[in-house]
Amino acid sequence: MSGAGSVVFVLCAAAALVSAVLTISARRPLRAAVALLAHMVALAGLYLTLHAQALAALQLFVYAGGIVTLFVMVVMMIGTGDSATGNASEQKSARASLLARVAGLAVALIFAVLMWVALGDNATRIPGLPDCDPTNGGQCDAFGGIAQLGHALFGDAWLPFELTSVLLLVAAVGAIALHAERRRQPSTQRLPTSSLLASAPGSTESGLPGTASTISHRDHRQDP
Amino acid sequence: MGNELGHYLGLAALLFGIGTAGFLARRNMLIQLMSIELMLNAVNLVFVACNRWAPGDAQGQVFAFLVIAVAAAEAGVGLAVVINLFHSRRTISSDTIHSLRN
Repeated sequence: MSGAGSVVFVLCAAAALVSAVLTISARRPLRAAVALLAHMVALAGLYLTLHAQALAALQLFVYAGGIVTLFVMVVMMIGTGDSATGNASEQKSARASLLARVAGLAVALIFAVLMWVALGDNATRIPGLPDCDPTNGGQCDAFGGIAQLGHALFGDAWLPFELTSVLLLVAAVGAIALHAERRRQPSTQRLPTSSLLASAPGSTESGLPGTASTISHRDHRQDP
Repeated sequence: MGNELGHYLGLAALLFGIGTAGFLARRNMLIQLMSIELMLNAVNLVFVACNRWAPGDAQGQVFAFLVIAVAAAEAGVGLAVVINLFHSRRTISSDTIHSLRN
């Protein structure tokens, strides 16, 4: 188990690192989104090496299948032209971006050192993953399964769970409210639907010409 | 030699650093949001790895679950804000959108 677990860990870790670097260094946002998707899948693989299969499935469903999809849809809406994605202003001074990369590396090193110091001997003395024999008393059997996660979420952590559902509702309503705020403002990008209805070529000939004219009249009255 | 806790935490530290570098270095708001997701995933990895080495309860996994849910809400609202900014300013560069700064 340990040999195969190490191989999978090294593969998933390398994939996670490479895709993370590709995400932050991609010129086009769509490529960054695809690299982020690969990163999510690599992390799901890492959760599987940790025997946390419920979280691996959740990671794939919610992160890879939901959040990254949302990113891709927004990239589709915003477009990939140079002026739209802000690429034109990415040519900040080379010194500033080098400073940012050095800051990122420094943050990584500081966190690694802090965790090393905090863990002390526990980082290296534990020889590997706890052995998951079925004869091990069953504690290791239940780890990472959906039953353990469900018992914890609906048992001890019921209050954060309920608050999270309220948070998701508020986020959905907030996102819709942001869009509604934009629609109330006069904008040149809205489709002139009333003129489309009035100028439809078949509306005055076929079927119900009376309703067609009343529809166009109603829309003209509603124009601001 | 099997996987050690230090391996997972070192990898998580590296991923967090990469996310930080991406957030500071890039000016495209979408890439900045993706860097935030990188950082959140690194923290999730720390939670789950520590839970694996202390498997008495599921607290690490519960935290990771809540982080995933909060990240989903934050990504949704953040992307709605980015779309609104794009429609009103025609750019999503955080260098040019700084009217709250002064």
